[in-house]
Amino acid sequence: MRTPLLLVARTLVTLCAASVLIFVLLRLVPGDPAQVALGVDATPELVQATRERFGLDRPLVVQYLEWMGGLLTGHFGTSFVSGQEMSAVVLDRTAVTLWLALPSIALALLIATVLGTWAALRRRSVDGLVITVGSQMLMAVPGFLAGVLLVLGLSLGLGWLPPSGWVVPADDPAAFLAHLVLPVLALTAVQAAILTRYVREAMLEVIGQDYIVEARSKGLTRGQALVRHGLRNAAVPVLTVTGVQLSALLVGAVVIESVFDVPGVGSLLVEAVAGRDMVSVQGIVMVLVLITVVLNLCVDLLHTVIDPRTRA
Amino acid sequence: MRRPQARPAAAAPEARRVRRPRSLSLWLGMALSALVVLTALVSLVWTPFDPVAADSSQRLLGTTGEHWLGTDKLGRDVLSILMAGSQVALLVGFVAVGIALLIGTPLGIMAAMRRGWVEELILRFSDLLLAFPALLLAIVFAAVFGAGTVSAMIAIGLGSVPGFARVARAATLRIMQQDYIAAARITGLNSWVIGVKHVLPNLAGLVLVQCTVTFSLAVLAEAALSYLGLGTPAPDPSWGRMLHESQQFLSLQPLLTLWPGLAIAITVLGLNLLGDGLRDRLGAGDPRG
Amino acid sequence: MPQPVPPRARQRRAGLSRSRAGYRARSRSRAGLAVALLSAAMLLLSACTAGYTARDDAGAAPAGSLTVALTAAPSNLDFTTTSGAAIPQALMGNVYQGLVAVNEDGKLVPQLASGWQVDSSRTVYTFELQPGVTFSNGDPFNAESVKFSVERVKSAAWSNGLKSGMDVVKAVEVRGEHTVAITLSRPSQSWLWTMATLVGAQFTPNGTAKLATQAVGTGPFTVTSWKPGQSLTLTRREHYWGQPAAAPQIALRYYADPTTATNALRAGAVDVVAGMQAPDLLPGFQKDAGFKVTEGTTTGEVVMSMNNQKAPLNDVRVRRAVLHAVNRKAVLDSAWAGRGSLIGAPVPPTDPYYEDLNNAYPHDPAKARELLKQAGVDGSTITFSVPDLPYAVAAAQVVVSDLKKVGLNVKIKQQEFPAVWLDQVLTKHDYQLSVIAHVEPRDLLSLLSKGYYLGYDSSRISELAAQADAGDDASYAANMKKVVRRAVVDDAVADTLFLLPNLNVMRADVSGMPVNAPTTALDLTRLTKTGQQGDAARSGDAAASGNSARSERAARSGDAARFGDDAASGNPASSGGEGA
Repeated sequence: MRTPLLLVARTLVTLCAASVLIFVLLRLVPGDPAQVALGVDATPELVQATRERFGLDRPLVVQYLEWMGGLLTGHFGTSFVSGQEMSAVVLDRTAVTLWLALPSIALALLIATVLGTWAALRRRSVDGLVITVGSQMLMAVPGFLAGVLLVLGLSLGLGWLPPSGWVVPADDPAAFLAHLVLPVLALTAVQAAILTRYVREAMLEVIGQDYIVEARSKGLTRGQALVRHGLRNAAVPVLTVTGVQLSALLVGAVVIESVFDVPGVGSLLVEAVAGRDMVSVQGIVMVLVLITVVLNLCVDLLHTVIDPRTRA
Repeated sequence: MRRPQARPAAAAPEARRVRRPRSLSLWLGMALSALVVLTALVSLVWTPFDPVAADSSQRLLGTTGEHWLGTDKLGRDVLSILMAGSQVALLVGFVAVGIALLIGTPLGIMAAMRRGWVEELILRFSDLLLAFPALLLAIVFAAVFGAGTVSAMIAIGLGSVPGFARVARAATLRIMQQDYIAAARITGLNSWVIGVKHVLPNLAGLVLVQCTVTFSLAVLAEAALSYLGLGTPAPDPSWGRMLHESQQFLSLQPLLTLWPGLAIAITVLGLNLLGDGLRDRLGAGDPRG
Repeated sequence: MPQPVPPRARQRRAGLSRSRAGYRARSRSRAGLAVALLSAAMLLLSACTAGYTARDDAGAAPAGSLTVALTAAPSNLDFTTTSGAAIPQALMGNVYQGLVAVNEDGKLVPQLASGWQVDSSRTVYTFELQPGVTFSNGDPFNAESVKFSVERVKSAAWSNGLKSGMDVVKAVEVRGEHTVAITLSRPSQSWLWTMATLVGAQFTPNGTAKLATQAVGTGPFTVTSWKPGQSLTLTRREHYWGQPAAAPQIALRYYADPTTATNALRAGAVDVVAGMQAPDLLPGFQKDAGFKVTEGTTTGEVVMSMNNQKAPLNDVRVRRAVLHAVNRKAVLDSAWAGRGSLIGAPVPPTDPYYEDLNNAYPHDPAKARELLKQAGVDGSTITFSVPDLPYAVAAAQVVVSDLKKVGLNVKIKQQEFPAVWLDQVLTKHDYQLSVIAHVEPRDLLSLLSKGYYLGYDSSRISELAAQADAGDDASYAANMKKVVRRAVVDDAVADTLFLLPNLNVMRADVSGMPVNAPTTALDLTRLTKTGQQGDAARSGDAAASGNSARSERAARSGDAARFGDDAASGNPASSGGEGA
């Protein structure tokens, strides 16, 4: 039932359905896109000319197919508002967000694996409890509050790091890293708290398993047994959560981007929404949906690889 | 912002062998949640000051005997706004959870009970919704239907549907394997009756846990949207907007930023603890229990 | 959708001896690893340039370059088809120029015209043009370009509503290479002022093909980089006809959030925050010797509009009641920390027909209640359509509190600016109360014009206005004052809450930043950094430490530091532009 091929096919179906949904949803925007783009002072002739120039006077099906054709060849369309081809901008801004999201999730996973395992092993002692309670509390802190406090403390207070902004990595790697630290830290803190909880619970589950008992009977300490055999088995649920968190993070980073003034894809989306730049909104949403769907697919494939039973 | 439980609710280690009594979580969670609900109820009839009454002579006061938590840039009493802000937080939570619950749970049960093309259809629909993280959906809705509390609630609610569908389906699948269901089927009971009489009650615990989790995510999402200016519009008090507005006074009145942050944290913490506690207490991790 | 692995299955799987299944899994994961590595390599390529579409220039900025933080980003570079103040703010005077300009004191001065004469009928203006002026594409500027530019405004190519300022032009006649005569259909005081705004911008026929992305003008700068929503870089022109700009390059960076902008100033990433939106932060900068703060005037009148066509505000008594009920001092205190000025009418003090009308409607709640009682509307509910601009939202909430005290129940309906507000309020007039800053200079008559969203009965002033426009300077001012008195005092057309201040915060070594903003244009030609060469006169301790902090940070972040965020509005300067 769940062969990788079927999973990929389903993903494609989801993508197609999502693209139709996006296209239709954005056609529901009140008002004529050309009129919205040109503003209130535009003359009717100009609006009509713009409609024709952007092909808005043709049947919706044709417009949809053209949009899809453009997407497949890497052309997201020309913005009515800025007059720019959006593909390069959307992809580039997505790369910026990935720079925030990927290191954050990787770092969070690393921290969570250590702290979560520790908390599971020492669940009855004070330090285990501290980790558990701490992660519980940190989970409740909104990411942007963490960001604002980081700026106040590490940047404006101590002057260690720039409070906001972005440097292209190839231009100046050192400055790039300096600008990356605070936003990544803000994202990591919250994500690590969430993942720590999952690692801890997953580890608690494997602790009582037969093979751990067996390994211990061979002379390993509980910690050794857990690290050697438990981690691998706890990986499935934890990686599943990580996948979900990562896809949520791509959009969720928009708040952190706003705090740190990082030109990520989320802030591009918010700009496009404010300017009613529907060509851009459409393209950005499609890219984000694509990434989400692919991440979901990866998680599914992971299941079939790690857990052969699900391939039956 | 975060949706940890959208997928993992069921994948999370439910059948924990090592069960530690977590009644502390439950009680603490209940106490914090009750505090928030109580605050919201009280604020409906009474707040120390009118939360929307501006008074320019009282701007940016620190803590005073009259204004316990100080005043904001319009001279409004922060405690009063904070109290009234709980209404929006809870409203968004309840409506979003309601939408997800009422759409997701029946879909999940239906998928598990009918299998075949119905299940396939529901799963594909769920996949489609999963492709849109709640915050993305909310931003798109803001573009299409205009930013505001209503579009935010609906977007967060729809974004949480797959989580409920998944939890309900997984649990129903397990329940359907039970002997008493087979017995009920043999006696010729209609599947609707089975669903309502046997499946739903056994699901309740799991679904309740999912509710608290979704609720806390909805509170965080509303705050994030309001922070971005896509959530609750002025003058309705909203914790997220309070945070955004107070940010520029961080160097003058740092506490102004702290209070709404604390309010959000207390609410979310309470709901998370409540969810954990409920999961243990109701044995929700094991629908057979 | 991955099916959740049932716990029992996981337990069983966990117990599996890892033989064949595990092996198969590993070989598959190796193939997967290869694919992953390949795509990772591809991603890495684009990862290294991540953010290049948001940085403000291609290469390193030359020494002496500055960065100015602004609020509202232009959505494109074409003000001929796009309204709003963001485009002229960046481009007028810097890239595009007019025959005349308004200087910092609000006076008309020659720019591309070296001088002009008006005939006795006051309808024919003869301009002598500056010789040797070229456009940035190399085209010469001459009488033909003037004819082209003026006639283009009147053509369908222009769709900016401000184009109506050119309606009065009847003919443009080329009288020589550098002489042009423009004939008006009637004498007009306001037309020459119009020529100083974006409507008077001079174009070359070869430079209008891609106005949205390429600006070709006669000014001292050219746009060398434009990243929508993020930044716009102006680079000094080598072959500029006049005195070259002081700075080789100026980057305009757009920050939606004033806190982020001031943080960037403190961290040394920007040199100037122009049109600062967070006046509460100013005292902190004023105390710090590393920075200086200037406070000037603008033409941005924050006007609370009362729909004159809609009940209950169509009743002049109700409007008068509102004027008496609102404590404008308190509004200013809350919305702009008391900076800015109370003017009592939508006429800034720099205009020749300004009169202090602050006492026309003193704050008097008792009188307001009485007027409302007379009109029979006490206790009714009014909807206040507020654009989601910080100053508007803040002002509105104070107004609501004031009106509540006199028995008017006002409900705030926040609307997205510009998208929703322009549509609902400005275009459809579907509102009762609203508030916005009108930033166009001398926009009183357009506020009062027929069909504008205030809904004023323009027949009440049309005769006076026509007399004023047709008269000489003295009678212009006298008649315009009558217009103001009729519309603002007698008819209580709207409540002018206050005049926006022009607040600039900059590093102490920056000079040449205009203090006042008499038009929407931000003149950057004289902006420069004096501290660059280690100005001995300024080496006070604090200033020096400010400098070293700056250079230290600059070394770390490089001048390539990229900042910028969304184009969301928030700038009062962006909220006008409708004033015609």
